[in-house]
Amino acid sequence: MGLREYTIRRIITGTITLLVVMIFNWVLFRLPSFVTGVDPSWYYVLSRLVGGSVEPRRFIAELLAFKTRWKLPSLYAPIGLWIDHIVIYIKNMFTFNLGEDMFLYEGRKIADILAARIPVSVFLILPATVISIVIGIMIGAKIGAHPGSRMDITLMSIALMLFSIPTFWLQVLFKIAFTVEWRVWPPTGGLSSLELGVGDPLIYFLDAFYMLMLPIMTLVLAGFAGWMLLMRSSLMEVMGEDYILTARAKGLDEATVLYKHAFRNAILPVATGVILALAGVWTGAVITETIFVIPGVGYLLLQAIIQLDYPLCEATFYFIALTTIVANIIADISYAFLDPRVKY
Amino acid sequence: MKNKNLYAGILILIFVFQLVVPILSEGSSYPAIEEGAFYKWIAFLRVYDPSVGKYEKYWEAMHYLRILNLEEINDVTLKIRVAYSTIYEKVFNSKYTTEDTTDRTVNHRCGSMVFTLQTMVNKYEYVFAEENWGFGLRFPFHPFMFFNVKEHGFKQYFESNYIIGPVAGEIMERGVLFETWDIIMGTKRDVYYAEIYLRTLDMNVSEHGTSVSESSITETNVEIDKQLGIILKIRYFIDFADKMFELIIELADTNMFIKHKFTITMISFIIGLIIIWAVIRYYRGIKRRRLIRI
Repeated sequence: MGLREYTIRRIITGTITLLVVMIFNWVLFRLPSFVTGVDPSWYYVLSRLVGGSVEPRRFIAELLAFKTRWKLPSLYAPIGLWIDHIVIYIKNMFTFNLGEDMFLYEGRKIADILAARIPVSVFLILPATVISIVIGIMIGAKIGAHPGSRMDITLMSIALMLFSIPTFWLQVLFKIAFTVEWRVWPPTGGLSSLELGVGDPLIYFLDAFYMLMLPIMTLVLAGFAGWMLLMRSSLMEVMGEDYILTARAKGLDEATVLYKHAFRNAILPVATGVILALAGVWTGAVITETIFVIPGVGYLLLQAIIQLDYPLCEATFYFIALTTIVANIIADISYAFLDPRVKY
Repeated sequence: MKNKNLYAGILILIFVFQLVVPILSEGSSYPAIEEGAFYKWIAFLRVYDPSVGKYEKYWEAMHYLRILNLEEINDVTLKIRVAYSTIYEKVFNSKYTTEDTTDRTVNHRCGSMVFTLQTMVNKYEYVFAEENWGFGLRFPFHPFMFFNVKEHGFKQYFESNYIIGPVAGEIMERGVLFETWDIIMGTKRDVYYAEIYLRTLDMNVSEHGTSVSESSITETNVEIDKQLGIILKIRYFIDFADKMFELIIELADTNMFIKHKFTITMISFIIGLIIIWAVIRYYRGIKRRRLIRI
């Protein structure tokens, strides 16, 4: 099987996986309604009418308007209606027609809501991911070349400690320390500090960057250790190979052996992880964005879950699944380019 | 010769007439009302207890109707002899107070009764007996209710009589009607499905005033067979006496359509796929063995 056939096969399996994810996604968000017996339409309309009296005529009119607008079958509708509903849903998802939101941002296109949130998530996670990858690979390569050295033991201890600490705990600690104790950043979180305002776009950008420095810092601290450990173990494995011995026997200096022979081979398993991590850049970080009140994709997802806004949940999960599946396919195919020895 | 042609002409006319008459007459009478036809529905009432967070069953009942005999009095009048009954098979007495149990769950064992159906008057629907399942409410749909779905304009009739109707004295749209399909007793059936929201107070006949609140709404989900015009499913969700009552009625048996057709087709399809897969595997095995021999 050549690379072309392998690529086609991966795209087909990826599409099937996406279809399964879509169906699972659809079932997952409707399951609570079926278990509890609470019709989502009733929930949404009653939530909207809270404060006013539930006058039957108004309630019935609102409920019917809601059902007609969103084409929502009742929980007790016949199978035919549900099949129609799921077919339309799958067709819409495949054509990237994410539809309109029905609750949190009522009437707004979900694609627009996501498009507004993605840059924020990218702005937060891309620098954090790139910095943690670079630092992790550099330190991992350094200590992987000299396992058992004093530097290796010290850095390994620190890395293992950071790797074991739950990210949310580290972030809460940092938030308390830098916003409450030392007041370097305002405790409100978000993308703009109260001091600077949002007049000039450049000032807004710099302000946002300033506000994102703290979450980026915590993400780097929590993330670099993993890359470092991966790179270290990969390099240690490669350093024991025969071709490294041959390179040394040829009289090459240690830097050439390390960076020209060992590093290029050791980076292969890391490369797959890098592609997958870069895919995660678009999909946000739920916990980080929530702790630091950053209006990214992750925070949007949490809001949608809390408000039981399932079209938004579905669309966000679909976006995350699609990104992950595409990244996996790219990672698999890129392996053939990165390592000419790989044959499919 | 002339006689022969005349006879042939008459024979052809009779033949054509026999073919055309059923087509023309189709839709003029209730398709579900046939001699020997029987229908059985199961019904149950469950009540949501918010303190426990789950439903508790109050009773299970069986509704049965058999059409014993049909007699056509004239073009528009049918004499129908039917046997029907409502039997409460299980009553969980612990859920009731004594007077409630005796008052509310009463078996109706009716022997053969004769009804007169006038197709001009009862053009679209005919109710053999109204059922209220012990509530003092007047429900819009009952199991012993037949629709003449073949009659031209049935959908418009249903919409103008059930979908549009009074809510607290005002005529308004109070539901939606769909034409779809469902799996009934393992068979795919085309159905009319309606979701209707009614003010419970509008349905009240003899319930104590305080048990039905002003704002209480009854959700009705009903499925009507598109070929036969019988009730396939009814669900009433009633906010009544500060409790959530769910009354469910489902067709459980009939001799008017073949049961489990869809289930058998699906199982056959899966078995077929397994057989095809096994055959392909078998022949691939033979091919491989031949190659090894070479």
